[in-house]
Order: sequence, then structure tokens, then C-alpha cells
Amino acid sequence: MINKEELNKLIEAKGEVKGVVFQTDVKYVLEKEGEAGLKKIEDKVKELGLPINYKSGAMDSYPIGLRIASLLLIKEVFSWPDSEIRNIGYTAPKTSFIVKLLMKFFISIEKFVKKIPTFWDQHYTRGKLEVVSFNNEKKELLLRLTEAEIHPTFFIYLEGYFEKMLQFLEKTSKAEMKESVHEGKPCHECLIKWE
Amino acid sequence: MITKKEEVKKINNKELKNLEGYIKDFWKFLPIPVCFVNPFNTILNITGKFEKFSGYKETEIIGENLSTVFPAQGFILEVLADTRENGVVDKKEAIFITKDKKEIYVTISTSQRKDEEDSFSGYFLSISDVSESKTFQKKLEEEVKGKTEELQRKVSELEKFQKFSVGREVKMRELKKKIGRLEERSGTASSE
Repeated sequence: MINKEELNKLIEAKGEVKGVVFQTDVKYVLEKEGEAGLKKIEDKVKELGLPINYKSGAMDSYPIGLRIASLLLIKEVFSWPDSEIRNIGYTAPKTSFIVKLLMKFFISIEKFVKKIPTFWDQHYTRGKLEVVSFNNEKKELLLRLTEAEIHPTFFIYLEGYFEKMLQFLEKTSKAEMKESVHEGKPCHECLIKWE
Repeated sequence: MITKKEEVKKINNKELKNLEGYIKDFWKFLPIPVCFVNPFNTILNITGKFEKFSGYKETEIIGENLSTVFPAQGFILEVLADTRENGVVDKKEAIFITKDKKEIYVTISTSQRKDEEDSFSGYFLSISDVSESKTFQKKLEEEVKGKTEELQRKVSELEKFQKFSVGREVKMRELKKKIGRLEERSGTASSE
């Protein structure tokens, strides 16, 4: 169960996240649980005194930890398994306003790969997403996320998110996140393969 | 104290929020099924009307290939090629398949989009339901076909009748000639 101490730690984390992530969370909850489900989440946010606004504008800024707090609350309120959290991430690019703004990059895989760091920067002011390797012949893309602590629940979310992003271009893509080490520091990597 | 930079950022954010609302409202309002498709023929955005028309929710159809709703072999590749080449496709006939597998006769129109480097970045595709006029046209065609068949049948009957009449006429003529000859013969016999 999510506790106040953990939440405070999340809110105090440095960095910001755009409100678009709450918009995509809302879309998912509404589709799965309807208005009553959304009310449950909003009530919980109110009860815990979190500054999450589910009617937020896509470009509004919030403390970065609220991204994780929102996922944790949703997971807890509906007792959803990790697979459902992955699916929230998988569904998010389909309804994300920021992704719609950046859809001009979905014209070739090469162009898209070049712009991957932009996608991260448009959402989060903390963390650095870079392309470690891209091989169109082998049909493999390796991404590395550094300079950010990733909560296990967010880790699962991102796996689904990256998978869907690639599917806008390569329908059969599959993503797999793993913890790794880069220059002696822990980081996260995401390997995406397609057929 | 708010700095000039922060003030500008605040104004920009406000403008962005307005723009976001405008774009969302516009896509929601558009009273026709429209989608935006990338060069991979992946659907990236749809109008509210597209959701209603197709039966697919936004989360179900965005990210899917256009062939999900236009499964006819080669059709979407043809549309993509024509749009790339000519910039637009105007009222091309197609069959749209809804989520519950209902076939709807439609015409589609497209208009290409280019990015700042003048590269083809996808296209808008609008759909017009022409099933009513198509059904009417089909009904009309069937009626014309029925009437034509009826006419052909009557012509054939007339031809038969004509053939019969002509045959009868010929026979009558032959009989008249025969009577004439008989009369001639009987006249000659009585005078003798």
C-alpha cells in the first residue's frame, strides 16, 4: 500500500513532468472503469493531498514524482497487476497530445530514431534518453536512460510506451527494459526488436 | 519577482494550452470521419465522427494500419501512391469495414502533408458514406435489368407472333392460289 512517506519523497524529487501524462492516464481509466473509476482516483488524490490535476493541460508542468504517484494510485485503487500498468504505457502514445504534435517524425524509422531524445525531453526535465545503437538491418534499437531514478512501476510503464512508439512505424515491435550499468553508474536500457 | 523570461514562458504556456484546446475541439467537432495517416499507413489521429462511424475507440484504432478499415487488396497502397504523386485523391470509391464487420460503401478523399524539409509526412483522409446512393443506384440498376429482361421477353414473343403471322400469311396466299387454280380448273370443266 502506498504510504505518505513514499509520496512525499516522490514529490520532493527534482525535475518536472508535463501534464500530458495525467491526460493519458485519465483516458485509460475512463475506458476501463468509466466515470466512477475516475472519481475513485480523484478522491484518492484529494485524500492524499496530491497536486495532481487530471484535467490538466498537456504542457502544464508538475513535480516529476507525480508521474509515478499517479501510476501507483491507479494500480492500488483498482488492484491492477503490472501487465495493466504496461498497458497504460502502451496505450499512452495513442492518445498523447505531445505525441500528436511530434507525429511529423513518424515518417521513417531513421528520422524517428534521431528524434527519440526529443520525445523524452518534451515530457520530462530530468533524465536523459539516448540511442545506444540502431540497426535497421538487424531490426534492433537499444535505448539508454540515464540521470534518472526509475521506480519499478514506471519501468514497466516505459516498456509498454516504447513498444507502442515503434509500432507506429514497425508493426511487430517488442520492447524489453532491463537494468544496466553505464560508466559505473546504474541506468536503464530498453531493447526494441521488430520483424 | 517574476523575470521577463519567466513571464514569456508563462504566456507561451497559456498560448499552447489554448492551441491544445482548439486542436482537440476541432478534431472532436469535425462532422465527418477523418483520420491522419503516416507514410507507413499507420493511423495517428482520428475525429470523433470516425470513432462513431467505424465503431472503434480512439485507443483501438490509433496505431493500427489503415488496412484494418480498408482491407481490399492493394487499395491503401494505391491511395498512398496517388496522394504522394498528386498531393490529393478526390472521391475514390471504396468499401469501409467497421469494427463489427459491416461493409459500407464510401468515397474517400486525401490531402498530403509535408514537413519543413518538404518531405512527405503523411496525409489526411476523409470518408463520405455513399451507401444510400449506392443502394439506390443498385436498386435502379436491378430495376433497369428487370425491365430490360421483360422487354426482351416481349420482343421475343412478338418475334414468335410475327413469325407465326408471316407463316400464316404465306399459307393463306398458297391456299388462295390453290383455290384460284381449282376454280380455274372447275370453270374450264363446266364450260366443256
